[in-house]
Amino acid sequence: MNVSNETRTHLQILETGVTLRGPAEVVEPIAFAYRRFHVDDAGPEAIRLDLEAVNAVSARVCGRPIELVPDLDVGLQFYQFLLDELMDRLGSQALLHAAALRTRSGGALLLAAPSGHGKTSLTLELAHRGLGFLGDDYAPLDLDRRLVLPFPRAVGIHPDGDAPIPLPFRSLASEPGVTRLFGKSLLDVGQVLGESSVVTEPLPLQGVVLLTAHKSAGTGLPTRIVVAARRGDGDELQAFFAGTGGIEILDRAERPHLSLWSLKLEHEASPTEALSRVLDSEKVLFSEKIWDERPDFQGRPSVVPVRRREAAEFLGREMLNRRNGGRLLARHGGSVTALFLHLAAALREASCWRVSVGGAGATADLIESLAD
Amino acid sequence: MTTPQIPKPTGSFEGTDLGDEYLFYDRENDRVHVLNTTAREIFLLCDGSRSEDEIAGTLAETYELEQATASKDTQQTLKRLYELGVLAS
Repeated sequence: MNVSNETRTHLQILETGVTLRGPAEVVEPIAFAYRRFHVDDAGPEAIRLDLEAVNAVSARVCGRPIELVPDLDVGLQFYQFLLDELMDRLGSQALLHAAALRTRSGGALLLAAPSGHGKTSLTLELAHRGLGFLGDDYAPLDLDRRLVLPFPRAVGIHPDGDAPIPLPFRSLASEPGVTRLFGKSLLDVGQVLGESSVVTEPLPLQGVVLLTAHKSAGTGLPTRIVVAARRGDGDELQAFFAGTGGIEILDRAERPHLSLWSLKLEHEASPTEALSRVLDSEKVLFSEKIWDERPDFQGRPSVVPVRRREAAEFLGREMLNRRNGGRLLARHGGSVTALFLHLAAALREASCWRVSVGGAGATADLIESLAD
Repeated sequence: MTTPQIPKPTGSFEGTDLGDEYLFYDRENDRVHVLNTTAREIFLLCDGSRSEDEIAGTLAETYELEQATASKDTQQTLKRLYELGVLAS
Protein backbone atom coordinates (compact mmCIF):
# COMPACT_ATOMS: atom_id res chain seq x y z
CA MET A 1 0.00 0.00 0.00
CA ASN A 2 1.16 3.51 -0.71
CA VAL A 3 1.54 5.51 2.50
CA SER A 4 4.39 7.74 1.36
CA ASN A 5 2.19 10.85 1.26
CA GLU A 6 0.66 10.22 4.66
CA THR A 7 -0.59 13.27 6.50
CA ARG A 8 -1.60 13.60 10.12
CA THR A 9 -3.59 16.47 11.59
CA HIS A 10 -4.96 17.21 15.05
CA LEU A 11 -8.15 19.14 15.72
CA GLN A 12 -10.14 20.28 18.71
CA ILE A 13 -13.76 20.51 17.60
CA LEU A 14 -15.97 21.80 20.42
CA GLU A 15 -15.42 19.45 23.36
CA THR A 16 -13.80 16.71 21.28
CA GLY A 17 -10.25 16.10 20.08
CA VAL A 18 -9.78 14.57 16.63
CA THR A 19 -6.73 13.01 14.95
CA LEU A 20 -6.89 12.30 11.24
CA ARG A 21 -4.24 10.20 9.52
CA GLY A 22 -4.24 9.18 5.91
CA PRO A 23 -3.23 10.05 2.37
CA ALA A 24 -2.69 13.76 1.86
CA GLU A 25 -5.25 13.96 -0.93
CA VAL A 26 -7.93 12.78 1.50
CA VAL A 27 -6.81 14.42 4.75
CA GLU A 28 -5.55 17.81 3.60
CA PRO A 29 -8.85 19.17 2.20
CA ILE A 30 -10.63 18.10 5.39
CA ALA A 31 -7.86 19.64 7.47
CA PHE A 32 -8.24 22.88 5.50
CA ALA A 33 -12.00 22.91 6.06
CA TYR A 34 -11.29 22.65 9.81
CA ARG A 35 -8.15 24.83 9.79
CA ARG A 36 -9.47 27.04 12.59
CA PHE A 37 -9.80 23.99 14.83
CA HIS A 38 -6.14 22.89 14.53
CA VAL A 39 -4.22 22.05 17.71
CA ASP A 40 -0.80 20.53 18.36
CA ASP A 41 -2.19 17.67 20.41
CA ALA A 42 -5.75 16.35 20.30
CA GLY A 43 -5.39 14.52 23.62
CA PRO A 44 -5.67 10.86 24.62
CA GLU A 45 -9.47 10.70 24.27
CA ALA A 46 -9.41 11.99 20.70
CA ILE A 47 -11.44 10.50 17.89
CA ARG A 48 -8.86 8.71 15.72
CA LEU A 49 -9.53 8.19 12.04
CA ASP A 50 -6.97 6.24 10.05
CA LEU A 51 -6.89 5.49 6.36
CA GLU A 52 -3.94 3.57 4.92
CA ALA A 53 -4.46 4.39 1.26
CA VAL A 54 -6.92 5.92 -1.16
CA ASN A 55 -7.76 2.45 -2.45
CA ALA A 56 -8.01 0.82 1.00
CA VAL A 57 -10.95 -1.50 1.61
CA SER A 58 -11.51 -0.21 5.11
CA ALA A 59 -10.74 2.70 7.41
CA ARG A 60 -10.28 2.59 11.17
CA VAL A 61 -12.45 4.75 13.39
CA CYS A 62 -11.14 4.79 16.96
CA GLY A 63 -9.49 1.46 16.19
CA ARG A 64 -12.65 -0.15 14.77
CA PRO A 65 -12.34 -1.26 11.15
CA ILE A 66 -15.11 0.13 9.00
CA GLU A 67 -15.57 -1.21 5.51
CA LEU A 68 -15.43 1.38 2.76
CA VAL A 69 -17.92 1.31 -0.07
CA PRO A 70 -15.94 1.06 -3.32
CA ASP A 71 -18.42 3.07 -5.38
CA LEU A 72 -18.29 6.08 -3.10
CA ASP A 73 -15.66 8.82 -2.89
CA VAL A 74 -13.31 7.68 -0.10
CA GLY A 75 -12.87 11.28 1.04
CA LEU A 76 -16.62 11.70 1.41
CA GLN A 77 -16.80 8.53 3.52
CA PHE A 78 -13.85 9.58 5.69
CA TYR A 79 -15.44 13.00 6.16
CA GLN A 80 -18.75 11.40 7.13
CA PHE A 81 -17.04 9.09 9.66
CA LEU A 82 -15.58 12.18 11.32
CA LEU A 83 -18.95 13.91 11.52
CA ASP A 84 -20.76 10.81 12.78
CA GLU A 85 -18.21 10.23 15.51
CA LEU A 86 -18.24 13.89 16.46
CA MET A 87 -22.02 14.05 16.60
CA ASP A 88 -22.18 11.01 18.86
CA ARG A 89 -19.72 12.54 21.32
CA LEU A 90 -21.39 15.91 21.82
CA GLY A 91 -23.28 15.85 25.07
CA SER A 92 -24.14 19.43 25.94
CA GLN A 93 -24.58 21.05 22.56
CA ALA A 94 -27.21 20.58 19.91
CA LEU A 95 -25.49 20.69 16.56
CA LEU A 96 -28.02 22.58 14.44
CA HIS A 97 -28.04 22.69 10.67
CA ALA A 98 -27.97 26.47 10.54
CA ALA A 99 -25.73 29.40 9.77
CA ALA A 100 -24.88 31.79 12.60
CA LEU A 101 -23.95 35.47 12.57
CA ARG A 102 -23.15 38.08 15.22
CA THR A 103 -25.68 40.90 15.18
CA ARG A 104 -24.71 44.53 15.69
CA SER A 105 -25.98 44.28 19.26
CA GLY A 106 -23.66 41.35 19.96
CA GLY A 107 -26.07 38.41 19.98
CA ALA A 108 -26.19 35.39 17.70
CA LEU A 109 -28.68 35.16 14.86
CA LEU A 110 -29.33 31.70 13.45
CA LEU A 111 -30.33 31.21 9.82
CA ALA A 112 -31.89 27.79 9.40
CA ALA A 113 -32.86 26.44 6.02
CA PRO A 114 -33.00 23.29 3.98
CA SER A 115 -30.22 22.82 1.43
CA GLY A 116 -30.64 24.94 -1.68
CA HIS A 117 -32.44 27.81 0.04
CA GLY A 118 -29.52 30.27 -0.15
CA LYS A 119 -28.17 29.91 3.39
CA THR A 120 -24.49 30.14 2.46
CA SER A 121 -25.00 32.99 -0.03
CA LEU A 122 -26.98 35.01 2.52
CA THR A 123 -24.46 34.31 5.26
CA LEU A 124 -21.54 35.51 3.14
CA GLU A 125 -23.50 38.57 2.00
CA LEU A 126 -24.35 39.49 5.60
CA ALA A 127 -20.76 38.85 6.74
CA HIS A 128 -19.61 41.07 3.88
CA ARG A 129 -21.95 43.77 5.24
CA GLY A 130 -20.29 43.55 8.65
CA LEU A 131 -22.14 40.92 10.66
CA GLY A 132 -19.70 38.60 12.43
CA PHE A 133 -19.28 35.09 11.06
CA LEU A 134 -19.77 32.09 13.36
CA GLY A 135 -20.48 29.49 10.71
CA ASP A 136 -22.40 28.92 7.50
CA ASP A 137 -23.66 25.38 7.97
CA TYR A 138 -23.44 24.08 11.52
CA ALA A 139 -24.37 25.99 14.66
CA PRO A 140 -23.66 24.32 18.00
CA LEU A 141 -26.16 25.56 20.57
CA ASP A 142 -25.30 25.09 24.25
CA LEU A 143 -28.74 24.12 25.50
CA ASP A 144 -28.15 24.96 29.15
CA ARG A 145 -26.41 28.30 28.68
CA ARG A 146 -28.37 29.34 25.55
CA LEU A 147 -25.14 30.20 23.82
CA VAL A 148 -24.27 29.73 20.17
CA LEU A 149 -20.70 28.54 19.72
CA PRO A 150 -18.53 29.51 16.76
CA PHE A 151 -18.11 26.80 14.15
CA PRO A 152 -16.05 28.63 11.52
CA ARG A 153 -15.28 25.89 9.05
CA ALA A 154 -14.11 26.99 5.62
CA VAL A 155 -17.06 27.75 3.35
CA GLY A 156 -17.58 25.56 0.28
CA ILE A 157 -18.51 27.37 -2.92
CA HIS A 158 -19.17 25.92 -6.35
CA PRO A 159 -16.60 27.76 -8.49
CA ASP A 160 -18.88 27.73 -11.52
CA GLY A 161 -22.18 28.05 -9.68
CA ASP A 162 -24.65 30.88 -10.18
CA ALA A 163 -25.40 31.53 -6.50
CA PRO A 164 -25.23 35.26 -5.64
CA ILE A 165 -21.93 35.12 -3.72
CA PRO A 166 -20.23 38.45 -2.82
CA LEU A 167 -17.50 39.32 -5.29
CA PRO A 168 -14.43 38.75 -3.05
CA PHE A 169 -15.55 35.17 -2.48
CA ARG A 170 -16.62 34.62 -6.08
CA SER A 171 -13.21 35.74 -7.42
CA LEU A 172 -11.19 33.57 -5.05
CA ALA A 173 -13.36 30.51 -5.61
CA SER A 174 -12.26 30.40 -9.25
CA GLU A 175 -8.52 30.64 -8.60
CA PRO A 176 -6.61 27.52 -9.65
CA GLY A 177 -4.66 26.99 -6.41
CA VAL A 178 -7.67 26.98 -4.10
CA THR A 179 -8.27 23.84 -1.98
CA ARG A 180 -11.29 21.86 -3.14
CA LEU A 181 -13.45 19.35 -1.36
CA PHE A 182 -16.15 17.40 -3.21
CA GLY A 183 -16.04 19.84 -6.13
CA LYS A 184 -16.39 22.97 -3.98
CA SER A 185 -13.72 25.60 -3.43
CA LEU A 186 -12.92 26.02 0.25
CA LEU A 187 -12.60 29.61 1.45
CA ASP A 188 -11.79 30.84 4.92
CA VAL A 189 -14.00 33.83 5.74
CA GLY A 190 -11.27 35.44 7.86
CA GLN A 191 -8.79 35.27 5.00
CA VAL A 192 -11.27 36.96 2.67
CA LEU A 193 -12.90 39.56 4.95
CA GLY A 194 -10.26 39.96 7.66
CA GLU A 195 -9.73 38.23 10.99
CA SER A 196 -12.14 40.53 12.83
CA SER A 197 -15.00 39.16 10.73
CA VAL A 198 -14.70 35.75 12.41
CA VAL A 199 -16.28 35.39 15.84
CA THR A 200 -14.25 33.37 18.31
CA GLU A 201 -16.41 33.55 21.46
CA PRO A 202 -19.80 31.99 22.25
CA LEU A 203 -22.68 34.46 21.93
CA PRO A 204 -26.13 34.55 23.54
CA LEU A 205 -28.87 33.40 21.19
CA GLN A 206 -30.75 36.51 20.07
CA GLY A 207 -32.81 35.44 17.10
CA VAL A 208 -33.77 32.63 14.77
CA VAL A 209 -34.67 33.10 11.12
CA LEU A 210 -36.29 30.17 9.36
CA LEU A 211 -35.70 30.49 5.63
CA THR A 212 -38.47 28.91 3.60
CA ALA A 213 -39.61 28.75 0.01
CA HIS A 214 -43.31 29.07 0.71
CA LYS A 215 -45.20 32.27 1.30
CA SER A 216 -47.80 30.75 3.59
CA ALA A 217 -47.59 28.38 6.51
CA GLY A 218 -46.84 24.84 5.41
CA THR A 219 -45.07 21.76 6.63
CA GLY A 220 -41.69 22.98 5.41
CA LEU A 221 -40.73 19.33 5.23
CA PRO A 222 -38.97 17.58 2.38
CA THR A 223 -41.17 15.73 -0.07
CA ARG A 224 -38.59 13.28 -1.33
CA ILE A 225 -35.51 11.60 0.10
CA VAL A 226 -32.72 9.76 -1.67
CA VAL A 227 -31.15 7.04 0.50
CA ALA A 228 -28.05 4.92 -0.04
CA ALA A 229 -27.05 1.81 1.93
CA ARG A 230 -24.74 -1.15 1.56
CA ARG A 231 -26.34 -3.89 -0.50
CA GLY A 232 -26.16 -6.26 2.44
CA ASP A 233 -28.65 -4.07 4.32
CA GLY A 234 -30.80 -3.47 1.24
CA ASP A 235 -33.56 -6.02 1.86
CA GLU A 236 -34.06 -5.00 5.48
CA LEU A 237 -34.37 -1.34 4.55
CA GLN A 238 -36.62 -2.17 1.61
CA ALA A 239 -38.97 -3.98 4.01
CA PHE A 240 -38.99 -0.98 6.34
CA PHE A 241 -39.71 1.53 3.58
CA ALA A 242 -42.41 -0.69 2.07
CA GLY A 243 -44.04 -1.34 5.44
CA THR A 244 -44.09 2.19 6.85
CA GLY A 245 -47.16 4.31 6.22
CA GLY A 246 -46.50 7.59 4.46
CA ILE A 247 -43.46 6.33 2.54
CA GLU A 248 -43.81 5.53 -1.15
CA ILE A 249 -40.87 3.91 -2.93
CA LEU A 250 -40.50 5.74 -6.23
CA ASP A 251 -37.40 3.87 -7.35
CA ARG A 252 -34.82 1.37 -6.17
CA ALA A 253 -31.50 0.88 -7.96
CA GLU A 254 -28.78 -1.65 -7.29
CA ARG A 255 -25.09 -0.99 -7.81
CA PRO A 256 -22.26 -3.48 -7.15
CA HIS A 257 -22.05 -2.48 -3.49
CA LEU A 258 -24.92 -0.09 -2.99
CA SER A 259 -28.68 -0.04 -2.81
CA LEU A 260 -30.27 3.30 -3.67
CA TRP A 261 -33.84 4.47 -3.14
CA SER A 262 -35.86 7.46 -4.10
CA LEU A 263 -38.69 7.85 -1.59
CA LYS A 264 -41.75 10.07 -1.60
CA LEU A 265 -43.10 11.21 1.77
CA GLU A 266 -46.73 11.86 2.66
CA HIS A 267 -46.43 13.79 5.90
CA GLU A 268 -50.11 13.46 6.78
CA ALA A 269 -49.33 9.79 7.49
CA SER A 270 -46.54 10.84 9.88
CA PRO A 271 -43.62 8.80 8.58
CA THR A 272 -41.10 11.30 9.87
CA GLU A 273 -40.13 9.98 13.29
CA ALA A 274 -39.72 6.33 12.30
CA LEU A 275 -37.84 7.38 9.18
CA SER A 276 -35.53 9.68 11.12
CA ARG A 277 -34.44 6.82 13.35
CA VAL A 278 -33.55 4.73 10.30
CA LEU A 279 -31.75 7.58 8.55
CA ASP A 280 -29.69 8.11 11.70
CA SER A 281 -28.74 4.43 11.91
CA GLU A 282 -25.48 2.99 10.69
CA LYS A 283 -27.31 1.08 7.96
CA VAL A 284 -27.77 4.27 5.95
CA LEU A 285 -24.59 5.55 4.33
CA PHE A 286 -26.07 8.83 3.28
CA SER A 287 -29.40 10.46 2.56
CA GLU A 288 -30.40 13.64 0.84
CA LYS A 289 -33.65 15.48 1.35
CA ILE A 290 -35.29 17.09 -1.65
CA TRP A 291 -37.87 19.85 -1.44
CA ASP A 292 -40.30 20.16 -4.32
CA GLU A 293 -40.94 23.78 -3.47
CA ARG A 294 -37.90 25.92 -4.33
CA PRO A 295 -37.45 29.57 -3.40
CA ASP A 296 -38.25 32.18 -6.02
CA PHE A 297 -34.89 33.94 -6.01
CA GLN A 298 -36.32 36.70 -8.19
CA GLY A 299 -39.32 37.30 -5.94
CA ARG A 300 -39.99 39.65 -3.07
CA PRO A 301 -39.03 38.32 0.37
CA SER A 302 -41.45 38.54 3.26
CA VAL A 303 -41.27 37.98 7.00
CA VAL A 304 -43.69 36.85 9.70
CA PRO A 305 -42.96 36.28 13.39
CA VAL A 306 -43.30 32.68 14.54
CA ARG A 307 -43.73 31.10 17.93
CA ARG A 308 -40.65 29.69 19.62
CA ARG A 309 -42.22 26.24 19.54
CA GLU A 310 -42.48 26.43 15.75
CA ALA A 311 -38.87 27.58 15.47
CA ALA A 312 -37.78 24.77 17.79
CA GLU A 313 -39.64 22.21 15.67
CA PHE A 314 -37.90 23.49 12.55
CA LEU A 315 -34.47 23.45 14.20
CA GLY A 316 -35.12 20.15 15.95
CA ARG A 317 -35.84 18.34 12.70
CA GLU A 318 -32.43 19.39 11.46
CA MET A 319 -30.58 18.75 14.73
CA LEU A 320 -27.68 16.65 13.55
CA ASN A 321 -26.68 14.95 16.79
CA ARG A 322 -30.01 13.58 17.96
CA ARG A 323 -28.62 10.20 16.99
CA ASN A 324 -29.63 6.95 18.64
CA GLY A 325 -26.22 6.21 20.06
CA GLY A 326 -25.28 9.80 20.78
CA ARG A 327 -24.47 11.31 24.16
CA LEU A 328 -26.97 14.14 23.76
CA LEU A 329 -29.94 11.81 23.37
CA ALA A 330 -28.63 9.57 26.17
CA ARG A 331 -28.52 12.65 28.41
CA HIS A 332 -32.25 13.07 27.75
CA GLY A 333 -33.08 9.49 28.73
CA GLY A 334 -33.25 8.41 25.09
CA SER A 335 -36.34 10.57 24.55
CA VAL A 336 -36.36 12.66 21.40
CA THR A 337 -39.30 14.60 22.84
CA ALA A 338 -37.38 15.52 26.00
CA LEU A 339 -34.46 16.65 23.85
CA PHE A 340 -36.81 18.70 21.68
CA LEU A 341 -38.25 20.42 24.77
CA HIS A 342 -34.77 21.27 25.98
CA LEU A 343 -34.08 22.83 22.59
CA ALA A 344 -37.36 24.76 22.78
CA ALA A 345 -36.44 26.07 26.24
CA ALA A 346 -33.11 27.31 24.88
CA LEU A 347 -35.08 29.61 22.55
CA ARG A 348 -36.89 31.31 25.39
CA GLU A 349 -35.12 34.65 25.04
CA ALA A 350 -34.91 34.55 21.23
CA SER A 351 -37.06 36.35 18.69
CA CYS A 352 -38.12 34.05 15.89
CA TRP A 353 -39.23 34.76 12.34
CA ARG A 354 -40.02 32.90 9.16
CA VAL A 355 -38.61 34.58 6.09
CA SER A 356 -39.84 33.63 2.66
CA VAL A 357 -36.72 33.83 0.51
CA GLY A 358 -36.71 36.17 -2.49
CA GLY A 359 -34.02 38.09 -4.35
CA ALA A 360 -30.63 37.86 -2.67
CA GLY A 361 -30.09 41.56 -1.94
CA ALA A 362 -33.64 42.17 -0.73
CA THR A 363 -33.58 39.06 1.47
CA ALA A 364 -30.27 40.15 2.99
CA ASP A 365 -31.75 43.64 3.60
CA LEU A 366 -34.70 42.08 5.39
CA ILE A 367 -32.56 39.83 7.60
CA GLU A 368 -30.16 42.67 8.34
CA SER A 369 -33.10 44.73 9.61
CA LEU A 370 -34.10 41.86 11.92
CA ALA A 371 -30.53 41.64 13.21
CA ASP A 372 -30.41 45.24 14.42
CA MET B 1 -70.04 27.34 53.05
CA THR B 2 -67.48 25.63 50.81
CA THR B 3 -63.75 26.17 50.99
CA PRO B 4 -62.47 27.91 47.86
CA GLN B 5 -60.28 25.76 45.62
CA ILE B 6 -56.60 26.71 45.66
CA PRO B 7 -55.08 25.21 42.54
CA LYS B 8 -51.44 24.23 42.53
CA PRO B 9 -49.19 22.27 40.19
CA THR B 10 -49.07 18.52 40.77
CA GLY B 11 -45.51 18.31 39.49
CA SER B 12 -46.50 15.23 37.52
CA PHE B 13 -45.20 16.64 34.26
CA GLU B 14 -42.01 18.33 33.18
CA GLY B 15 -42.82 21.93 32.36
CA THR B 16 -41.05 24.19 29.86
CA ASP B 17 -41.86 27.88 29.84
CA LEU B 18 -41.19 29.42 26.41
CA GLY B 19 -42.42 32.87 27.36
CA ASP B 20 -45.15 32.85 24.72
CA GLU B 21 -46.41 29.35 25.51
CA TYR B 22 -45.97 26.73 28.23
CA LEU B 23 -45.29 23.10 27.37
CA PHE B 24 -45.90 20.05 29.54
CA TYR B 25 -44.22 16.78 28.79
CA ASP B 26 -46.18 13.66 29.69
CA ARG B 27 -43.20 11.31 29.67
CA GLU B 28 -45.27 8.20 30.34
CA ASN B 29 -47.30 8.68 27.17
CA ASP B 30 -44.60 10.65 25.31
CA ARG B 31 -47.04 13.50 24.69
CA VAL B 32 -46.62 17.25 24.92
CA HIS B 33 -49.45 19.53 26.06
CA VAL B 34 -49.25 23.15 24.93
CA LEU B 35 -50.72 26.03 26.89
CA ASN B 36 -51.37 29.12 24.81
CA THR B 37 -50.52 32.60 26.08
CA THR B 38 -53.66 33.07 28.20
CA ALA B 39 -53.61 29.55 29.60
CA ARG B 40 -49.94 30.01 30.43
CA GLU B 41 -50.73 33.20 32.38
CA ILE B 42 -53.45 31.39 34.31
CA PHE B 43 -51.21 28.40 35.04
CA LEU B 44 -48.41 30.64 36.33
CA LEU B 45 -50.86 32.20 38.79
CA CYS B 46 -51.63 28.73 40.19
CA ASP B 47 -48.89 28.74 42.80
CA GLY B 48 -50.94 27.38 45.65
CA SER B 49 -51.65 30.78 47.19
CA ARG B 50 -54.58 32.03 45.08
CA SER B 51 -58.15 30.86 44.79
CA GLU B 52 -59.87 30.56 41.43
CA ASP B 53 -61.64 33.88 42.03
CA GLU B 54 -58.36 35.59 42.88
CA ILE B 55 -56.74 34.20 39.75
CA ALA B 56 -59.63 35.49 37.63
CA GLY B 57 -59.38 38.84 39.38
CA THR B 58 -55.67 39.14 38.67
CA LEU B 59 -56.22 38.14 35.06
CA ALA B 60 -58.98 40.76 34.65
CA GLU B 61 -56.79 43.44 36.18
CA THR B 62 -53.65 42.57 34.19
CA TYR B 63 -55.36 42.35 30.81
CA GLU B 64 -58.17 44.86 31.50
CA LEU B 65 -60.82 42.19 30.90
CA GLU B 66 -64.37 42.19 32.14
CA GLN B 67 -64.60 40.12 35.32
CA ALA B 68 -67.14 37.76 33.74
CA THR B 69 -64.86 37.07 30.78
CA ALA B 70 -61.84 36.52 32.99
CA SER B 71 -63.81 34.18 35.27
CA LYS B 72 -65.07 32.14 32.32
CA ASP B 73 -61.56 31.84 30.81
CA THR B 74 -60.12 30.88 34.18
CA GLN B 75 -62.77 28.26 34.90
CA GLN B 76 -62.39 26.63 31.48
CA THR B 77 -58.62 26.59 31.64
CA LEU B 78 -58.46 25.27 35.19
CA LYS B 79 -61.01 22.56 34.38
CA ARG B 80 -58.80 21.36 31.52
CA LEU B 81 -55.63 21.52 33.63
CA TYR B 82 -57.32 19.50 36.41
CA GLU B 83 -58.41 16.92 33.80
CA LEU B 84 -54.90 16.64 32.43
CA GLY B 85 -53.51 16.18 35.91
CA VAL B 86 -51.36 19.30 35.68
CA LEU B 87 -53.16 20.91 38.66
CA ALA B 88 -54.66 19.71 41.91
CA SER B 89 -56.40 21.64 44.63
